[in-house]
Amino acid sequence: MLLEINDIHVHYGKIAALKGVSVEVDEGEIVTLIGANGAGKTTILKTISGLRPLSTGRILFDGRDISSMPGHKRVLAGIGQAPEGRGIFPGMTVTDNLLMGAYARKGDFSKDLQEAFDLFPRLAERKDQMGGTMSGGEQQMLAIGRALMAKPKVLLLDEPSMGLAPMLVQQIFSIIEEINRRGTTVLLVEQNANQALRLAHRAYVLETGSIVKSAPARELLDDPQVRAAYLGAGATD
Amino acid sequence: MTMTTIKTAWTALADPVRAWWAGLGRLPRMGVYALLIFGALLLPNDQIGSFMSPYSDWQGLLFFPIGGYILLAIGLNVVVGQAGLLDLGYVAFFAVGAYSMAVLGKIYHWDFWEIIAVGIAVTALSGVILGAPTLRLRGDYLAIVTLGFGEIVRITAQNTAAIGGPNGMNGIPHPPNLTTWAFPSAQPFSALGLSGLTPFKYAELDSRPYYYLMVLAIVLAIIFSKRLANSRVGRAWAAIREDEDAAELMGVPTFKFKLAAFAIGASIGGLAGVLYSTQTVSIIPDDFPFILSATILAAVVLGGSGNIPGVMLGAFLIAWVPERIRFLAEYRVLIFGAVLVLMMILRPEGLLPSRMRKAEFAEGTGGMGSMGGEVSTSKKTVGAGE
Amino acid sequence: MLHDFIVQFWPSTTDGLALGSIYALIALGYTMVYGVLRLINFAHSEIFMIGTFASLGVINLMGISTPLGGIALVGTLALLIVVSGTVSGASAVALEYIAYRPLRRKGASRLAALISAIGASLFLQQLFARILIPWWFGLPKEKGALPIQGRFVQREDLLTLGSFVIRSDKLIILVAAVVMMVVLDQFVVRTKLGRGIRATAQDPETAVLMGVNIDRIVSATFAIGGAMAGVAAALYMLRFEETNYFVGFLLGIKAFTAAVLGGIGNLRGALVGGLALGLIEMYGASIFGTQWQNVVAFVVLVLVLMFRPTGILGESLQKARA
Repeated sequence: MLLEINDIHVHYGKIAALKGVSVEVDEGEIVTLIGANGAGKTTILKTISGLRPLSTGRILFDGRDISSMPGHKRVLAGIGQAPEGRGIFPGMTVTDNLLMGAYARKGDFSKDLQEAFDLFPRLAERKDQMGGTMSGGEQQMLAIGRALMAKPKVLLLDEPSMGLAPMLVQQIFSIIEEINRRGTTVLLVEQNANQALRLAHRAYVLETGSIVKSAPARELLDDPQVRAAYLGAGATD
Repeated sequence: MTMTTIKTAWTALADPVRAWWAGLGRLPRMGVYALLIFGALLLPNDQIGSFMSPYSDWQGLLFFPIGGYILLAIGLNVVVGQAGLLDLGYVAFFAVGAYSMAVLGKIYHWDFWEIIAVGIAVTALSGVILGAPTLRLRGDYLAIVTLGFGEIVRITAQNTAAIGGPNGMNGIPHPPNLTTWAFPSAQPFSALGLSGLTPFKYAELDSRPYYYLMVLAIVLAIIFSKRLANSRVGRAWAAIREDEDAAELMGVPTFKFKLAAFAIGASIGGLAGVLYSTQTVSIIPDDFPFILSATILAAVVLGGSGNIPGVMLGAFLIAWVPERIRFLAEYRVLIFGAVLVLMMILRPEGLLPSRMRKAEFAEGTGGMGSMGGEVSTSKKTVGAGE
Repeated sequence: MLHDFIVQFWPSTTDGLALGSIYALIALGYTMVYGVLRLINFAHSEIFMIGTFASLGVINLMGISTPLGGIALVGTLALLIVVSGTVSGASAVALEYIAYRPLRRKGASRLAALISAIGASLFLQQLFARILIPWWFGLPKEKGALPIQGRFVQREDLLTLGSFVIRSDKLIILVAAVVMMVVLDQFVVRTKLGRGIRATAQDPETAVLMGVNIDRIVSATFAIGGAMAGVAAALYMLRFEETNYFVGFLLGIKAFTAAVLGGIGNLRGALVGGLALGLIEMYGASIFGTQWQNVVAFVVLVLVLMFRPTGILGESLQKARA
């Protein structure tokens, strides 16, 4: 198991955001976490990256217990994240944003930059533009490209489809698939359950801080409860 | 660590008192208030003084800095603790009050009681004058502008010959005597050390009548401030303090309420200034340095910003402790500085934080938002570079 | 009044630029720390004060008997800059470690941090006034507050064109300040550490996701800001040749004013704000008299903020150029 989250509890002040969540991600998989707003999806990703402290439980990564490892070291260990709202540094150029992705690593990054520009040609066109002035879709590409600059073993993606036009969503999802094909494990948090379940191998359903279902993604796509709650009436298979 | 032990002991002491108080009805509370006021009136006792302040005149000390700091802290608490506006130049209002007393009393020969009313009005007005152009600014801009204003007032006093320039003003009149009635030399008054005291005769030597005046001012300020806190105005301030943008969106006219907080805080500071000025007889611009603003702010934060008993305790400690440790006289300010740092490290929410503030603190939004560079906050940040 | 302004225009300008350069260098420390932590580092003025004493120590150690000019002066100044920069930078790092880091760990309010800063400021002032200065200069304790002199500069008029005079010391100060600013600006724009500082200032949480060690960035920010205050201290000693325990107070307030004037959090804003404030003060002093110099500075601050609430260049990075 590459990433193993074991019965974690997380609190904001006195309010429990996660109440005993367990999630496993195997090497090479795409795993998705679906759930409504406020279910705790983002909190899970922030906790994995070390931005929120655990109350109880453990997180294992690559066989090591990383529960008390500081956030910046987890990047070096191989956990990359494109955060909620994309987290683009608004006053830095596209190139600088990408270079920030490689902050934890040493050496020459011209090859990695070239790879990112190959994956996202749009970014190459705008490499000297300020991050804050780009469109939502471009920012999402930049966020993913930047996370890849760290050469992560697992890539955590927090709602990459948020606020994007359907065409762009398609494009982003096919890029995620491509990234996975090249060997990066992906943990994807999504409100767009329909798309996420089509892409992922396995899926977890999160409700108010607890996992209520876990199954192969295809199965959940046909699950009547999931269809009613997350896929909406118009969803077809 | 002993510090941790002290902290735990303090919480163990403060929490039951708080719980007991919360369970008390209206009438018993009035009783407690009456007892506290009565106790305050008995404080200028020589025996208490010989313990509390063996090195300096206890009765004078009670009037200022102890009483004065408490009144100033209650006033600043309206601005900082209730409305959440960072004011680093509060001493300016104290100075405006003091100079109002000096100018109106000495040059124009006004009566003290008229001056109190006018002095409060003048300082409230000066609060509005300062606030109107600056209160649209956020947090730290306001802090630096208020600091600047404090300096402007002091330097202007220094450069204005009509009010004495750097030599300040002296011969400021005392209040007229209300009555020269004295406590009889009989029990129980002699046991309480009150015999012969003329509580309403304002002379040069006895600071007790001024102290009683100060107690009256403090009581009025507390009542006023408490009433405000529980009113529509207080709720608006709480909303502004916690999230100004949200408050504005909810239809709270934030600017008006901020201005009101400034004017009210200023008028309490002005009242303190009038009282100080009439007792000390002479004032100079250097009586109103920035460090006094910082000291009063420290009292508010140290005690527990937003909570009146807390800020009173903070002001008392800051006024009294340096006098009590006179044997370290030359190192007083040095120790004061170190204690401020240590207190903020050990108990950043203050000695007696208000409950609402405790909750805000637990959420990490305590006071004026937490510092940046702090992983558990995600707010808009300002950049360091180009 | 207007006549005085015209007569004194040129000397006011050179004085203003020299003073403004010192403001600008101190302002950098405020603006960088504010950018990263959103904290008014009130004790920064004492970091500057420590720097002036470091320079004074070097001047005393060198035992300069005749005032220096030319190359000797420039060389001495370089030495002062290095020593003061190092001492102030190290002091700033220690200050952060002792007075701010524990609060940051607790997620304490910025108000609590400001009180801690004020406490640290008082402590450092008094440490010098009551203990270090009397001990160092063999003075009785009550004389610790007196100004201490260290004369080493020979002032030369480099260029005289009628009433236009450029004096060597003022020129050196302006040049040194501008050079330091350019170096720092390039450092922040081009280096990896500079990127880390900018990223932390813009979005600390995402910076962690990039593998940035926030504690290290904060230390680096204090080190750089402190070092710049040290450079300012060396230049201040060149210009005024004396210092005291309280020297940082007014300069610190002015420098913070300069930072706000230029747009806090903005490095180039610190330079613009510093020079603008220096000039405004000196022109103001020539019109209204020197006793009104500080009032003029604060009144201008209020006026600028009324019309441009985020300073001359603005605090936002979104609109900034590369």
